[in-house]
Amino acid sequence: MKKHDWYQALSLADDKYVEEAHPENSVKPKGIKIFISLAAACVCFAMIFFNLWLFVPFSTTPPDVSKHSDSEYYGLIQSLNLLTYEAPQYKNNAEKLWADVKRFGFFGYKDVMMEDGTNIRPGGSALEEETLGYNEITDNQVEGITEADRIKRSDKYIYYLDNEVLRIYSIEKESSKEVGSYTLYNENENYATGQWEFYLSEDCSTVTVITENYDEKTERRVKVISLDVSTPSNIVKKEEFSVTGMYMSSRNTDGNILLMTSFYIDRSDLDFDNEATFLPQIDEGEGYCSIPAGSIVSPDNLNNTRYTVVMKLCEDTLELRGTAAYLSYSEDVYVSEDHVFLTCVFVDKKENKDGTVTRNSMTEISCLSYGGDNFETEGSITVEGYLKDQWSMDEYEGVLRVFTTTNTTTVREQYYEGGMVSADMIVPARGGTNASLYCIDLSTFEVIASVIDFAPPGEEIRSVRFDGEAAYVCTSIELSDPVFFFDLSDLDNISYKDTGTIDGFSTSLINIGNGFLLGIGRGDGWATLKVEVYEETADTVRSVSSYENTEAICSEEYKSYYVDRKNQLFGFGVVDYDHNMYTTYRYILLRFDGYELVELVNVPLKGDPANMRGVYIDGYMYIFGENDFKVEKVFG
Amino acid sequence: MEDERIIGLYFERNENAIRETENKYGKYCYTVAYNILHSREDSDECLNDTWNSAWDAIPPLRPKRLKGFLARITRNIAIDRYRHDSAEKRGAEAESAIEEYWECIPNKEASIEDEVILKEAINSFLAGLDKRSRIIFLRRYWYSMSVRDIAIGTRLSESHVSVILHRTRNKFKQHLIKEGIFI
Repeated sequence: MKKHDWYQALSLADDKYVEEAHPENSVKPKGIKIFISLAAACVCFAMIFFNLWLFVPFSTTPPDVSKHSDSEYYGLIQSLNLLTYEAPQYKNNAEKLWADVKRFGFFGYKDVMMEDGTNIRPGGSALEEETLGYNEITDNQVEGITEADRIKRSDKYIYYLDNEVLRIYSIEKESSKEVGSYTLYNENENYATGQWEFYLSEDCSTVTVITENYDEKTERRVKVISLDVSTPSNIVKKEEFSVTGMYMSSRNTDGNILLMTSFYIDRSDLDFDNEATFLPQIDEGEGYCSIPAGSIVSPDNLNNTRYTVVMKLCEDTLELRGTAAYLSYSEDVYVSEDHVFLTCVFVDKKENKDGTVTRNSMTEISCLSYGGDNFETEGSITVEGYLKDQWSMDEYEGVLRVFTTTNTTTVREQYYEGGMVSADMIVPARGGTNASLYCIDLSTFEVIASVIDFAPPGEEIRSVRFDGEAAYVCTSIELSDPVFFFDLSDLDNISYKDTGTIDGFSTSLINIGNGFLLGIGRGDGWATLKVEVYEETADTVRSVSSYENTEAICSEEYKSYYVDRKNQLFGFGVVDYDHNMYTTYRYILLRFDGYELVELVNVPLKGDPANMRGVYIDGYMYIFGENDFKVEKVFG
Repeated sequence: MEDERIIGLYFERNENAIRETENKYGKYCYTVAYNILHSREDSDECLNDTWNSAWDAIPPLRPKRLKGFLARITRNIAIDRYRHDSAEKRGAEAESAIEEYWECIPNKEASIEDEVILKEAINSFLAGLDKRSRIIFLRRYWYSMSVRDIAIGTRLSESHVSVILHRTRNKFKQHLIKEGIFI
């Protein structure tokens, strides 16, 4: 029985140990330490492999094709291998990852340009894939910088701004229907009819419309209205922001809306006791107040009475995060990943010895950075000529490339008593118009390379598109044009080639991938629609295919063109002309199959072609006009 | 009810002391008894004996930790009862625990002569153990829990618990030798 005594003697153990060992007390397994140790070891190994993955450089040599050395086509294989090889864009995965992080942003979204050029947002996908989220369909100028449009889409709905009515349509092929709408203005409200575009938030729950309307005193103002569209059948107004003046342009980047407006000081109404007559007024929902004095930038030599106002608004709340008002006139706005560029055209006059005056069109380009809360002026430069539009500018690796139409006239100025120049006395100068390229170093704001007067004399720029180290320019005189392909990979040795003179000209040039360029514009007559595909060859640029409609024209509004690079589909609205009046409105969808442009859709559609929109989804073309909606089966 | 208040009832010789004790620690003490006896009836009887013992012991004793005090009484009574039970009534689990523990005793012929020295030896040994080993050791040999239940409670495998118990028993044996208890 001694063993029981000894066993019983363990009762002498201290109460604290007994209580500690009580069966109801939980015990942390010691194994967790081992687990943590193992996990730490795994993490260490993972870090090592991750670093290797990050920093091992990508191969920059074309694939080895020596296994084909016995082939009689080996020479051709080698040539094709070199031609088709695409060197990695980044040195290693770290650089690629960083670029992706910058592109997507940590806390917001940015559009992503797919290899085929299609814009998508994180969570979305290229075109018809059935995934949740936002799908960008606007052919934005800059990768990652979204532009407002009359149409946006999610994976479930298409949002179309039919002037003052936002309409939401389900994506259900032939069964598609309007599932919700919202009228932005009441009948008694006076709104500007021409300005309608909007953004759709990343989560597709908010639409932010940018419009213009007039107040009681018929003062024009830009109005930003956000709508909760998370339930399409019950769209609710969220926020509103107004600023006096006119709308110029806007962009959406990182969840912020960059809003550019202009404000004109009417000298006849100028009253320094009334700030509203000489200062832009902002209303964030609590009544109008003047733009802060600290936000106003006035040049030393003030020579006009017009502001260019640049604002940064939170997309979600429409809270004003930054403002800058430049007391200068601006024409075009180009927004790159880091900068806002504003252009101001003016005339430089020089008196000649013979008493004539030579006038040169000049453009001052001002550069602002918008990364922080405040806009910072980086610098400005003046170049000769004027710009066609925002597409004439492009920032690439710290260099701003600009195409201008140079324009020189010499006049013998004679004045009426009232001081006005007599137009009859203007004599065109030698050379007239031409086209030039300027490359500006943004760290010094100096021209580091240029190509002056590259077009035939008398030509003017009709359209420009940049694509990395390439640029495409269409110039024309009357109804014939050359299309130029520029190689800007070496700014010390810029080269270019052109199509030679061909009929018509392109008002828009669109890089459609695979080495092809699409030109949309006029044919051999002012009322001839022409869509043409160009291809670069060894020493020239050739026309591959063209599509023409006589007595028809399309809009020059680039946002009205539907560009689907993946499926090589291109849509646009057309108005037919019958010598008396504009009669028929249509929407056309073309497909480029690598050889020729084929018409897939040609349907009547109501409304101004500039406002028509279309989007291809899963075999069907969804087409929108003024109070008109059509679904056309394209494939399948 | 607070332990102080319950002990106060004992000192007042108020019979509610037993009722309150049973309410508060009945389940706990029953677990201690049942782990050894593996019989509901025997465990109930053991608990009755525990309450009576407590009634007799308090006063004069005034336990610092009533819970441990009662558990210790229960365990001793349960082991007493266990040793007098017929072999077929004994719980196999308690039997194996006692046998295992017996392996720790260096001199099987020695008897417990000085409880104070033994108590000190046991507690110094327990103090020197890591917490997990100590808990496993006491659950097995104080609470007479099965290896399987210990494994579930500590989220270890049964074989792992068995290994820990084996090593701890060896340490305990060495500790008792070192302390000179059986010389």
